[in-house]
Amino acid sequence: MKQVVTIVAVDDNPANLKLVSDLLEIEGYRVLRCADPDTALKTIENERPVLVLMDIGLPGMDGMQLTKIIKSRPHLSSIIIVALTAFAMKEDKERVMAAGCDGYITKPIDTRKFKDEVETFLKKKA
Amino acid sequence: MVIKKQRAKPSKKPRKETQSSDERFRLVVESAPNAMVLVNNHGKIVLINGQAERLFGFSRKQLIGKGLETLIPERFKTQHPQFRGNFFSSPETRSMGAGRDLFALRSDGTEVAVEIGLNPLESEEGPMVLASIIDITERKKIEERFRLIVESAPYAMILVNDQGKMIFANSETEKLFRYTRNQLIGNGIEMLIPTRVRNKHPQYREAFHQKPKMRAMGEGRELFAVRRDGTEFPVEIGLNPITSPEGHMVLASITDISDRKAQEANRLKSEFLANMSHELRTPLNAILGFSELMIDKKIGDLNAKQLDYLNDIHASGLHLLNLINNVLDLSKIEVGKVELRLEDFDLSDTVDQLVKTLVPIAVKKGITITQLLTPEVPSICLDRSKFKQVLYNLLSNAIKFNNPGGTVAIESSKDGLNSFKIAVTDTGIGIAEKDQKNIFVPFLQVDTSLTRRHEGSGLGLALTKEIVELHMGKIEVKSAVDAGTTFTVTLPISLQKP
Repeated sequence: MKQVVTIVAVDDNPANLKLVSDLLEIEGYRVLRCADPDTALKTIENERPVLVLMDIGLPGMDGMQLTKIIKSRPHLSSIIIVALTAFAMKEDKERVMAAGCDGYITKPIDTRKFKDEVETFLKKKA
Repeated sequence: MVIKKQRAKPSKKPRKETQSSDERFRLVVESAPNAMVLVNNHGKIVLINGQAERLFGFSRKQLIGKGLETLIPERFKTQHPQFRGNFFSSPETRSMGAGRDLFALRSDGTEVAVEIGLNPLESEEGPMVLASIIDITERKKIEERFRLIVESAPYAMILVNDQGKMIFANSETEKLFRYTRNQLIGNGIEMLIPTRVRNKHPQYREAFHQKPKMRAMGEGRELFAVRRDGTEFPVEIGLNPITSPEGHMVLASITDISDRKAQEANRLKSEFLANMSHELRTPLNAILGFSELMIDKKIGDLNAKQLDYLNDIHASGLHLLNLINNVLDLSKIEVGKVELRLEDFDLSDTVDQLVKTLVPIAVKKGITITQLLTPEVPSICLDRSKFKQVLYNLLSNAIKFNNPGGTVAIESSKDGLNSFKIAVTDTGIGIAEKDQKNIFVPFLQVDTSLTRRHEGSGLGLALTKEIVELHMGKIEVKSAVDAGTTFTVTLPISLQKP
């Protein structure tokens, strides 16, 4: 029996949260949906997902803060965090990586490529 | 020789005492830290001290009894007897030559810059003057250094007295305000202030004198200065209170901050654009993503009409995304935020890559793409991804606006020592002469009904032109209605400095 992989998706925009979560559920992942950083942290602590899809918004917002917190807790630091960002500029990508993300995918996502990109991140860990 | 204080009566002291007061005098003169020369009213040197011997390079024997003019440079000699005459007619202790630069002559013929103090004395032999002479070469050197510093300062420096009059301005002031020093000195500082704020200024000056403190002027306000021709420019002003023998003054240092303001405006603009682009892309995620999921039948089957509409939604979403990206790119270039990443790359490889990506849509319309690249330009050194952007835009337009079954020809040629041309020719609908100047203007589209069908963003060529010009190149179009179009781009072969 194939083991179900748990992914936590964090996005304060309901449509975007629905999009990534539905997309991955169709592919057979178990996706837990979180609309704010506090819910996300609680869920991550309780469920210990393999991967977190983190919406990174404007500077000063919670996505990067949450990433730093997760990476600073030893029992959570091995969780793969992939940032979803609508920013296209080099400096923004650098900032995202500096906050501790393991990678990023730019928005708007290409749904046809998305599942492969997620798979690549999961494989890296294994 | 008997020396007495001025206006004292001749003494009836015994000889021994007058001898010892003579001695005392000699001792005082000899031990003085300055060069001292005692001169009688005929201009003859009566006594000098050791310092004077050292300063002038003469021994006592050589000077005593000689005229004072021996120690004066040629060009001042003729006037000097007159000065001596003036002094003896109204003798008083004072410094010599106020406002003039004084020079003395050494035994070896060289000159030394000096300051001279004059002391009248009465003696039995008549009135005399004791001159004390200071070598001010060092002081002048230091003064010259300060003058150089002030004159070479990159900002305007103006010294303003407590009446608001300018008493000194450095050369940068002349450059910045376009006046000569003479036109400024003696006039009020208010002449450099725009008329609309001029009347308030005396108040500010008064307030500053009440509480003089080194500080920047106009905290929180925007300051402007006005040039001779009436044009204004933004400035930053530092104020330094100075107390000197001339009274309370202010040293104002003025910097032209026009550049800095322009940069700030640019920075804010590009920040705004980055944020705006981010905001616009976020909802597109849902539009493109959900329509894709449905088109790919990931959540159930669709009838033909549903599929058709969803394809339209998706295509419009892509179009919008393209538009947003192009707007951001265009403004980045305008704001000067784009830096070219130069690299050497093979021209024909790059063209091949691009053609490969476009073959699918070319085949759909039955279009053939041909290449004729000159071997004279095998590789170029430019920003590779931007070059590809330009070529992609021209090629995709050539296919888009082509007639079914038509051709697209890519040709390159060498154009002088460090320049090449690349031309893209299509057999399509062409561009009317009257429209040719408009095609590079952002959002201005030619014959909107036709181009709407072709889904142009109206920005592709505008962006292409900007990129070409950023590379110091140029783009030209040759076309006529229904006779096809040729776009020719001229670029340097290498932008790298040798």
